[in-house]
Amino acid sequence: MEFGIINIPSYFSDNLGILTSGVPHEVFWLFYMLVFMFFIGSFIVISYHLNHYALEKGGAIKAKLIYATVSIAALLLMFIALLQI
Amino acid sequence: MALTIPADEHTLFTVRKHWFVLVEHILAIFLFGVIGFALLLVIASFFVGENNLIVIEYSILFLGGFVIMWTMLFIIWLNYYLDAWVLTEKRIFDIEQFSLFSRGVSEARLDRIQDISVEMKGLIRTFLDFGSIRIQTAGEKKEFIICDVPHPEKVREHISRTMDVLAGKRFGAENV
Repeated sequence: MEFGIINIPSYFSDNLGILTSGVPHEVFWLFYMLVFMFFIGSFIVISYHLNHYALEKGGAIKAKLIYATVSIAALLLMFIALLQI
Repeated sequence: MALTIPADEHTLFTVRKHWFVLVEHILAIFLFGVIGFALLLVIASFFVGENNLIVIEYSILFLGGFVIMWTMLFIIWLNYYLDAWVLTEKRIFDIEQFSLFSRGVSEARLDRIQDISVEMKGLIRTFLDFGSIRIQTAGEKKEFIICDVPHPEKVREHISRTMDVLAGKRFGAENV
């Protein structure tokens, strides 16, 4: 796929491809840990707010369950993908 | 700074912002998410078939992005859910969640309210029937604004009726 003088695929693999192909696996583990910590941190903060300030208690528990379930599912998939590397 | 309603008062109604305000913010996050994911997809499409490893690495980036976007959506919902106005027999509470670590609760006594006005600006607000209510009080906080409330005219009527009931009770008590 040539666009003018730039060969797009080779442009990406030479420049943006550095995002993945040349990066050691430890970097992906670090990325995973950061996202994991981001989720844990957010969950604590969100739970705190819902527990302290929500006017209806039932709604707060349901919301926390939905948030945790979807996030943990995504984190597990990420973990499985990491094991494949 | 949790809301504490005095024991001799009851919650008459609780009102939150109109759902359109939430949808507006969610759409903005989705737009950024879609642009980000599309960019990743375009970059990843150049490597498909070339190396299976890269596909796995991209799926990690995708899922990482998804968790971050999901959390952003949740924070937006939290700001919407924790923003509320509570009317009791004697006062009105304005609970405002500015951001994740910023929150304020203010109250206006119904007997100090001097004027209530309703404001509906724009096409969407007129069609979906939501707008702002301005309450002028004699207290320290002169103006009390309830933003983007659904059916503002009905809410104003409800507040006025509660004020009348309170005034009637006071008048009755004074005459006894």
